[in-house]
Formats: sequence, structure tokens, C-alpha cells
Amino acid sequence: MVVKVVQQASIARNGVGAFVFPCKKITLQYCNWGGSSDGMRQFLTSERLDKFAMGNPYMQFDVLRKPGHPLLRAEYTNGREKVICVRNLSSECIETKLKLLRDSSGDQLRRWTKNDNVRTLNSSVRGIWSPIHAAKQHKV
Amino acid sequence: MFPRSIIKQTSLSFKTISIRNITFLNNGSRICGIRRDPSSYMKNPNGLEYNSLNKNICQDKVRSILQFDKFNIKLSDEIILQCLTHKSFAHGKVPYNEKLYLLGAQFLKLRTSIHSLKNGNSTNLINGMNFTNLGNITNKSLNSKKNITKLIKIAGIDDIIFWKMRDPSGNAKINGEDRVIHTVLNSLIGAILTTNGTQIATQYVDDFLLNKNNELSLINIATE
Amino acid sequence: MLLSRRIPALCGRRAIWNSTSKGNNADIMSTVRHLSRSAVNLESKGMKLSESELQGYKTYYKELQETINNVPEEIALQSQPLITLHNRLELPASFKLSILSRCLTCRSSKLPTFALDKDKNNTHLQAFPNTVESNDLFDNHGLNIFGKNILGFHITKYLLKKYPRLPTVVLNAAIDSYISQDMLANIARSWGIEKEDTAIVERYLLNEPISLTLGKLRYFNNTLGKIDGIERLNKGNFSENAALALTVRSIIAVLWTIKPELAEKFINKHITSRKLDVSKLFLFEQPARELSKLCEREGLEKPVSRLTAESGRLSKAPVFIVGVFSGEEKLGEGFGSSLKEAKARAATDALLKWYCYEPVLHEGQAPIIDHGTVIV
Repeated sequence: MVVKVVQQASIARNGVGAFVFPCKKITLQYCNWGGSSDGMRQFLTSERLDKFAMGNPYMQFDVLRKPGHPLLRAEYTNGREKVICVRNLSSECIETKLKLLRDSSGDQLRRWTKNDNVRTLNSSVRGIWSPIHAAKQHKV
Repeated sequence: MFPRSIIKQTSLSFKTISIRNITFLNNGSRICGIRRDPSSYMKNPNGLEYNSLNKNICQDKVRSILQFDKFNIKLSDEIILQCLTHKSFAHGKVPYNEKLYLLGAQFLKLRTSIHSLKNGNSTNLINGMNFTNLGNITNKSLNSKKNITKLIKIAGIDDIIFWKMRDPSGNAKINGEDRVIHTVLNSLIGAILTTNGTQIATQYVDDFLLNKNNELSLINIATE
Repeated sequence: MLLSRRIPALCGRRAIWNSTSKGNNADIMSTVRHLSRSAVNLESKGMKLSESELQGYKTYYKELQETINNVPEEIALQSQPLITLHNRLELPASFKLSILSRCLTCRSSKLPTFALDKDKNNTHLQAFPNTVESNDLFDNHGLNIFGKNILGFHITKYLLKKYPRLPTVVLNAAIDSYISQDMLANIARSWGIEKEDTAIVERYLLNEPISLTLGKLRYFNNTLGKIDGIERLNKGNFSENAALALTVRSIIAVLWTIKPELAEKFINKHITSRKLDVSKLFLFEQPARELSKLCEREGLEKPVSRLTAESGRLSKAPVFIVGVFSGEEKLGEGFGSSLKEAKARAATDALLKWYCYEPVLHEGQAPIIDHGTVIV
């Protein structure tokens, strides 16, 4: 046989077919004694977490009592974890942080350069301009 | 200054020059470097000529034995011939059944496993299907190479298969006869699937090949 | 409908088992670590645990075994990891949680020395630190076989319909790049399936409810890493990837039993939607020779390579553009810094255009049946 094979892996495109929610679990850690957990305790005793959990059935919520500052720990399907310390934050701020963690894909934050607006796996539809193939009047 | 035009574009219209070739075709024993006469290799181990094929003894025979008309299966002569041709024949110059076989084998495997899902006897069911007897020997033997070859031999289609023996004087094992013959049924299923659609192919496999009441079914041949 | 309404409410129910452990946390952790190390010998020695606690552990273990080997729907409904996985995959309500949990139970392979043991009932000697020995009637073995058959057929059909002229080796490679074990394991990871990696005794001491383990992948890993010098133990070995792939196949099999179309839809959504450039799979050794054979078989005129443009022939960076023609038809084009390179690229381009052909079929048009790869 003359045709040989270079084994390739297919690349996942979350959202092209099915969309699997990237955030799978959020652990809310609080301390029953510390003053920095005031907002967190308020957040937990109010109906807020229940409401939030109702709206996000894709995620598991765990509440953990542990001495120290209160934390939000989110686990993502890509195997990464994001942790936000919410000491001294009010319950409103904690909810915003919770939303931030929920909406994250779990990837590391990167700074994309200004002209790097389009990132794609597909090749260009128009092709790359070539001086050799260009029409006569556009030739160099 | 550099010249501005550095690209030469050749004209794209060509003159056609007529060329005459004379090739010597070798008809006798094999000589390295000399072309063989096509008539010496365009026939199957049974001596059947590929180019002057009688439709009655080949395609129509397949159609009647495998009861294509009963299941409303329409396969053209060319496709049936392609299914009967193995990759080894004529050095792959004529259409062969390799990929139809792949598809058909996958389909037959799926249908036989569905067959055993529905016909198990266990109390532990998932949505009415029985998953505990999958992967046992009786299920595996249904679509085994040996079983399918046996079916084709009983049907009498094995002498119209076009293939090349590795060693004409050797036995079936050296030549891999089972391996070649079993591709035919699978590729016919593959061809039915592509041309007639999933519904007809499913019906054909379930009611003909996996039907206990049919003499020429894989189940009866496996239990023999 | 009922299920979908109940699930969010359950997600909201918070697990508070961690807060129930009393006393100094660090102290407990050290005991746990010690116990998990000797978990296997625990029953025979029973040294570190008091008699009543050992009895408690025995009950916990037994309960766990009974639950896993025939998951009751009520307990499965309490398992948040299971419910969230069900939601994340948007499985239909008729896909029961207990069956999803069964998809996560792999058949426990046995270590060869134990398999030879005469007394087969002597199970407590076997090392299953994280999960109990599975019951052959309630694991994902059969589901996996069936799922494999469904996947194999659907992907083959999909690829053959999309690219009818792919050579067999390339077709097989393309199938592998969608549904090989490692690919399926990747898919399972992207679904957020976690393996159970805490010891049973550890879970017992933390007072963890049994329902939590139902949502995790339970298997017994008997592969040895490369560091150990040996990679494979016996035929029925399990690596993490193998176990994850089993789960994906089983889920597809269960979907099929609900409705065959559901399985097909699920495969399209999760597997064929992945990106694969088939032209990157090819590696030609003699493209020009193969192209001339192909033209001969298809009854086309002999392919001729012609230089169509060039630049800087005598410079250090020359560019040649070569087109390969059959009669007046242009089959392909290639560039290169030498004539030979450009010619080979042109022939490769022509062959790729032939093999990676994607037909646009209209209603009532006959499907394309390929004649086979050119054999040189």
C-alpha cells in the first residue's frame, strides 16, 4: 500500500453539537465563628443559594464548614479548579462572585492581543492571497 | 532597482502529441518486468471469466438464492459484481468490496447484538432489553467468519466469487479462503444498506439472516 | 417531566456531611490515612478500630455493596453528582438515574493470584479499597459491548457517507480518531465524570452518604504504571481511560434501548460534532506513481506535471508552482522550492482531491459506492 496514515485526534468543540456546562461543582466554605464569614453566613441562611441552585441544575453545590476565611471553590470539566476568597464580602458580592465562577469555562485567563480576534479550527474560506495566483493588475 | 516583474507565467494551452505504444503481453509463466496478458488473470479460481460474465449464473443467482425480490431489494448488476469481487482480484483494477464489507460487517454485528438483546431470558432487564448474555460464545458465533462462510457455501455462491489464491496448490487455510468468502455476505449487506436504506436492510437482516424459520439463516447454520 | 422538576430542588439540597465530623480535623485525617493504608487487612486484624466501630464499618460496607449491586431509584435520586451529570448531558427523563449509576459500575477485574485461589467465596482478601466487588448482573459489561457496536456502525456509516472515497486505512484511522478508547475517555472527562478515589473506610469515617459514590466512576484499576516496569497484567485489565470509555459506550447503549433515534442524535451531538480534518490523516509515499495508476484505472489521460509559475530560480529562495494535468484538465497544484518538491506536492494535492471528495447529494440521487483504493 502506498497510502499511509498519520493518526490524528478529533478536536472537541463544546457547543457545536451539544453544550456541556463547564462548571460542575461549587463548594462554599464558611467559618461559624470568624467575622470575615459574616456575609457568607448571611448568604447561606437566606434563600439565595437555594434560588441560585434551582436556576443552575447542571452544578453540584456543597457547603463546608471549616475554620478560616470563607472560600468559593469551583471545579470545572477540564479538570481545573478556581478558588475565590470571599472574606468580608457582603452576600450580594458573594453572589456576583458565584456567578463569575459559574460563567467561567475553567480555562486559565489569558490576554489576547488586539488583532487576535478570530480564532478558528477551520481554514480560511477565501484562501490566502498569493502574488503568483493574483489577477494581473494586482501583481507585484 | 530590482525588476518589478519576476514571475513567468507559462501559457496554459497545450499541443496534443499523439503517442503510439506497443506493449508485449506475456501469456505464459511469470517473467519479471513483462506485462501479463489480462485474459490470464481476469478469471476466478473456478475459471469464470470476469469480462464475459453471464448475468444468469452470477447476479441473478445471487438475487434468487438470497431472496432479494421478496424483500424488495434492488441492487444493480455492477454493485452485485463489486460485492462478489475481493480486493485480491486483478490487482485491484476492478471495483472491489473492501469498504462495503466494512460497513456491512458493522451493521450485521449491531443487528446480531440487538437480536440477542431481545431474545434473552433473564429477569434483569433494562427498558425491556436483556444485556447479560451479550458477549457470550453463542452470540459471537452468529456473525463469525466461519459461520458466514458456511452460509455462503451452502447457498452455493462461493464459486462465483472473484479472488486470487495466494497459492493455487495450497490448502484453504493458506489461501485464507474463509476470510475472502465471508466478505461477500457482509458487503452485500453494506450495499443494500447504502442503496436501499436502513429500513430495508434492517428488515432483510432480521427476517432473513436472523430468522429461525428460514433454512438459510445464520442462526440455523450456527446451531448445526 | 416529573424528574426534571425534581432535580433542581435536589441540587439545592446541600451536602453537610463534612461539618458533622467532630473534633480536630487534622487529627482525624491522620487516622484516616493510616486506616486506608491498612484497609485490606482491616477485617482480619481489627487493630485500630474498636469493636463497635468495626461493626459499624461492616454494616456500611454491606449496605454499600447492596446499593451498588442493585441501585434503588430512591437512593439514586439523592445523589447530587448523578443528578447533575444527568442534567449536564441533557438525558431524557426516561433515562433512570439508577441505570446511569449502573453505567458507572465497571466489572471488577481480578488480580491473577486471586483468580487462582481455590476458595472463590473468600472475597475479603481481594483488594478493592475504593469500591466493592461488582455483581456480574449489574455492571456495565453488556451495555459496553452493545454501545461499542452502535458507535462502530454509526461512525462508519457517517464517514462513508461523507467521504465515500477514503482508503480503508485512512477510514479506520478516522474512525479511531472519533471513537478510540482514549478519545472516548476524553469525552467522558469533558462531561465531568469523576472517578471514586477515596477508600471506603475513609468515607465511612467521614460519614459520607452512600448516594454520593453512585455518581462517581467505580472501577478497580489493576494496570501498573510505566514506573513499575510492567504495563499490562492480564487480559481483563482496567486503566482509567478504559473505564471512562466503558461509561460513554454504556450511556449510548441505554439511550438506544429508550429509542434508537436518541442514541443516533446523542452520537451526532457529542461525537461527530468534533473537528477532524481527514486530509491530515494521509501520508503518501509515491504520490506521482499512485496518481498515474489512478488515472489509468479511471480511464483518464496520463497525468503530466507542468510548471505554471516560478520566481527566483537562481536566488536562494526559489518558488515553483507546478500543476498536474490530465489532458486539458487540471487535477492539482503544488508549490515548492525545487521542481521535484513542487511536482510531488501537486500529485499529492490531486490525490487528496480525489480521496477526500465530499459529494453533495440531492433528493433521489443515487448514493456513491466507491470502487476502492488504487493498489500500486
